Amino acid sequence: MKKAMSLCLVLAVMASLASCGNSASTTSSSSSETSSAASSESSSETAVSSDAGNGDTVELTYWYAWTDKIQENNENLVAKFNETVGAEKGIHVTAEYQGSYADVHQKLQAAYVAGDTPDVTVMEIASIGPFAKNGVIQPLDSYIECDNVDMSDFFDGLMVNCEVDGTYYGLPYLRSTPILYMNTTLLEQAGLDPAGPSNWDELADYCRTVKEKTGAYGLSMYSYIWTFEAFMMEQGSSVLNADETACNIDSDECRYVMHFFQDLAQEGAIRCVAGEDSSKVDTDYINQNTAMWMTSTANLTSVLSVADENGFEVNTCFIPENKTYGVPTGGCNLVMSSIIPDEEKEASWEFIKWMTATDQSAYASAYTGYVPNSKSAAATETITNLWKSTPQFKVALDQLELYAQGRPKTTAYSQVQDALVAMMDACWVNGADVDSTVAETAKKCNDLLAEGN
Amino acid sequence: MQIENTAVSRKAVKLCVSEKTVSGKSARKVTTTLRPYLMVAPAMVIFGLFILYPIFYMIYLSFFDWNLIGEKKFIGVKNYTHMFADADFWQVLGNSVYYMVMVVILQMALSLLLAVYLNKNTRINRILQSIAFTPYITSMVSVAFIWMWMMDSDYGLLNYFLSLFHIPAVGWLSDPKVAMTSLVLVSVWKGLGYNTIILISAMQAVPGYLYEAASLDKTPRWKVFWKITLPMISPTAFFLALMNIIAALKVFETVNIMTQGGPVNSTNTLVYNIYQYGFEYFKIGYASTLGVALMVVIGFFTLIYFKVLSKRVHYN
Amino acid sequence: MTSVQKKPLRIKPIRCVGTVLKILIDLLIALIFFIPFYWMFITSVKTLGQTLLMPPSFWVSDPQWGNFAVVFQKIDILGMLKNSLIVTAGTLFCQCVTVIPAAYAFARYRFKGSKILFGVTLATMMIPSQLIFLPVYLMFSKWGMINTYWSLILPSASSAFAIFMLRQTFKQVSEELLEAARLDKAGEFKIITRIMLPLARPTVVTLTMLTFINVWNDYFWPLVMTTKADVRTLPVGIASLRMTESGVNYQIMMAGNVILVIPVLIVFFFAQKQIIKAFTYTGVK
Repeated sequence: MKKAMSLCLVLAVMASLASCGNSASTTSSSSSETSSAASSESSSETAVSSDAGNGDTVELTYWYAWTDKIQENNENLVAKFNETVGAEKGIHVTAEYQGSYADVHQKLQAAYVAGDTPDVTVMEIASIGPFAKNGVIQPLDSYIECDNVDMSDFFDGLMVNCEVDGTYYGLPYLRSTPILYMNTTLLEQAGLDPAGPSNWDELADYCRTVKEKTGAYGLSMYSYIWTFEAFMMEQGSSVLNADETACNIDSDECRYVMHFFQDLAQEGAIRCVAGEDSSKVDTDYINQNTAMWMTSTANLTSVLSVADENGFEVNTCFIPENKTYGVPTGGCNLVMSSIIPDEEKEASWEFIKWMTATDQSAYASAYTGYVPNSKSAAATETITNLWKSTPQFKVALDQLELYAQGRPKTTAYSQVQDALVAMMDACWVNGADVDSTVAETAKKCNDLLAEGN
Repeated sequence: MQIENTAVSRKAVKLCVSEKTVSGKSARKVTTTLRPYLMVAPAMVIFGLFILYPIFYMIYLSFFDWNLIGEKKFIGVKNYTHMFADADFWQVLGNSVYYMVMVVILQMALSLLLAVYLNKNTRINRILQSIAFTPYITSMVSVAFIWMWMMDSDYGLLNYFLSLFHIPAVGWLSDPKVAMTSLVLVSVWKGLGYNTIILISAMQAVPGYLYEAASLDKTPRWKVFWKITLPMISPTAFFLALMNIIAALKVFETVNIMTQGGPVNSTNTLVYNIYQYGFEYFKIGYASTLGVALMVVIGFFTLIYFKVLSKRVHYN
Repeated sequence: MTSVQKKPLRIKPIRCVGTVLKILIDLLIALIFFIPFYWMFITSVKTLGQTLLMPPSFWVSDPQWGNFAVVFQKIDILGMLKNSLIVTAGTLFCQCVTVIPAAYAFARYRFKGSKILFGVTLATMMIPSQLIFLPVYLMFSKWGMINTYWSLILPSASSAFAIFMLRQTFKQVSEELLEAARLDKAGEFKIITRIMLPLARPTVVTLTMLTFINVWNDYFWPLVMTTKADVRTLPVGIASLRMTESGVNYQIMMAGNVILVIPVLIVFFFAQKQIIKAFTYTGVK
């Protein structure tokens, strides 16, 4: 009895180990058969060649990040591609969910070392630098030239993080900017204009009034590198200098930003939570525990539905101006692996081109809240109708067209980022002394940047 | 004990092997000499490939600058000089040592108390031992999840209990002064049952005649504990302390799930720091250097352990 | 109630206070270990709104079993369960193959280098996987074996601790017994399977249980060795519930947690004596 059981166990393990090694090849061949049957090629030929694994249908793997609406959007678009252009040109794409952007990057790195990358992947825009410089992703210039893609149609603000040293490595896909979300039900209760604050002084007034009149926080925010970049831009500065060799942290602008929110937090008018507590901001706005919060435009659809469920109104506006307006762009580009066969590169290019084209961009924007990536997409009926029904969608694009800038691209930025989040945690959440914390952080960042160059 | 055992069986084995070699032919002799090597080979291959080789590989990598995808660049001891000059490293090391010291002290003190309290072999005590042991066999992921939720600063159970006594809310995981201690508490909660039960079994192994003598003298109970029980269980307690030290030095799960090294780097530990450099910043060389540092720290405590152990054996 | 308390109070007040105190302390100890688990269960059947109530409610009249359905939707529980089983069974199998013969050889043979090899074996006990994960990860990725079960099984395919324990047990088997078997022309294989293992059964059961629990609960190794959901084990899968974009949903996290904890709790409930004994065994050296 015992022997039989252990034998079964052994067999089961061996079988499963064997199947795990084979599963990839079997699934890909079976799916290529089905898709080739759908294509218009002569069936006898494809049946033979697909057995050889080198048929007329090119199999592509595509990695994407995030769940919920964004996931649905990705899956829908890929399905549509496979039915239309893919079927026509003999390309079949399999979309695979990978987690957060950080997960995608880590996995891509591992996959590259193992020589087994996906063909196409989304890539958070600040990471394009390191991946391009290390040759993991493919330059796209020759493809762009060959197909005469009209690059001027894309919004300028989005393109900074698509190129590295003058060469394009990606096309803008799901792109966003941070915007200010407002619970207008609470604002009105406090007797405030639901159009929102237009500058930092008004922002402070709004926060104090909301706290005083309603008891809720004026603003709930977490130590978030992306909005911090926006704050620096609004002081007419930026986190890093132009050639990314040093930071502008040890400056009056930065100290102003740190003091501004620290004071409000210590008064109790706003609530600041630590970087890893970002979900508290969500809980706060869902519970109507805060009147304002800043997050990506990408969340607009889900915020609107949450507001609807919980019985409050939501408006959006620019991140208020101080010396100037300014926001970084965010989100992801589509990039292609450099180590895939040429044939797959051609097919990947078709896929990238299609995914970022006018209609698809309009679709994605309406589905999620990401900004349309091109002027032609913004002019489509999908988008103009959407703006009529839900004008909140337009804010992000206006902000993008007028004030959006790129994000740092240097390799050292991932560590600089962590240092800055620690600085925000220390000053805003834990009430540390601003001047000394800023000085320390600036030194650390400069060391990291110097080391990276 | 062990040493004795080995000596006895060695004699026996010697006897049996020599008998065989006399009667066997040369071919058989070869297989007989080879046989033990073949038997230990699979295990040795696994150890060599997945424990020993990686250590040397890690030391080798610590002299390079490598981002995993580019070329490896030999930079000598630059990673080491950088590490020693880096305030972050000392903070992380300090965090790890603080965590370790706190875990060991709390764990040993509480488990000793609990062991004394639950020592008597009654039904209720056995049930309590089982209950206390439960967290030890549940996954660290579960434990971290539960405590993350209990320690939530707004809706957590702990702050609710505090509010019942009009104590202001504590930022268990968001206050850099408290966060590391919170992780210590989680670790102690998880391991308390295990440590207690080990100590109890050590106490129950103390020969009864030692106590009988004491009871004749009417020695007070605390003195009995101090003079008899504690010395008798000290080898076990010492072993437990070492196990706790090593376990504390390799803490990763709670940090990764509950705090991610924050707030303000206050819960960043050596292992988590290696993970960050390896998997987030892709500085493989520097991550390896940190690995070597961790190895030295662990080696240091292991060495102390064996030093004390050998001394003890000596006195016996 | 009061009369019952009063009566002994009058006779032996000190002992009674002692008893009450003992009961209170017992209760406190039990609660310290029980409440967190209870809190997990009760949260797992709450609505989002109920989890955010202050003061919190300790009872739910309309349990939200749907939370569990959400977990099944979000992550592939069955697939991860399968992975956990494969990795655990695979590790157990490999350990059988490597540990038993090695323990036997160390216990019963005297061969050149045996001391060194045994010393190496003991030394590996002191090296935690957290120390060497990075180089091992690099090795596996060079071999293209990241995201295979091999990367999860092979590094723990042997166990120094198990070899050590089993060797101690094998040594206690009397030489006469083995001599008798040899006279019957029993080969080494037969001696191991027919004599050694049956005699060492308690040790083998204990070691199996320990390996099972360790591998089943392990989070660190599968986290660093895999990047794809289809080879990840249950703890890693459950831990990924933490990462949501739409705020924290503690009720979903706790529902996932219940799924992870329940099997272990059930096994522990029925086999607590053996399990506690097994772990005590690791502590007393």
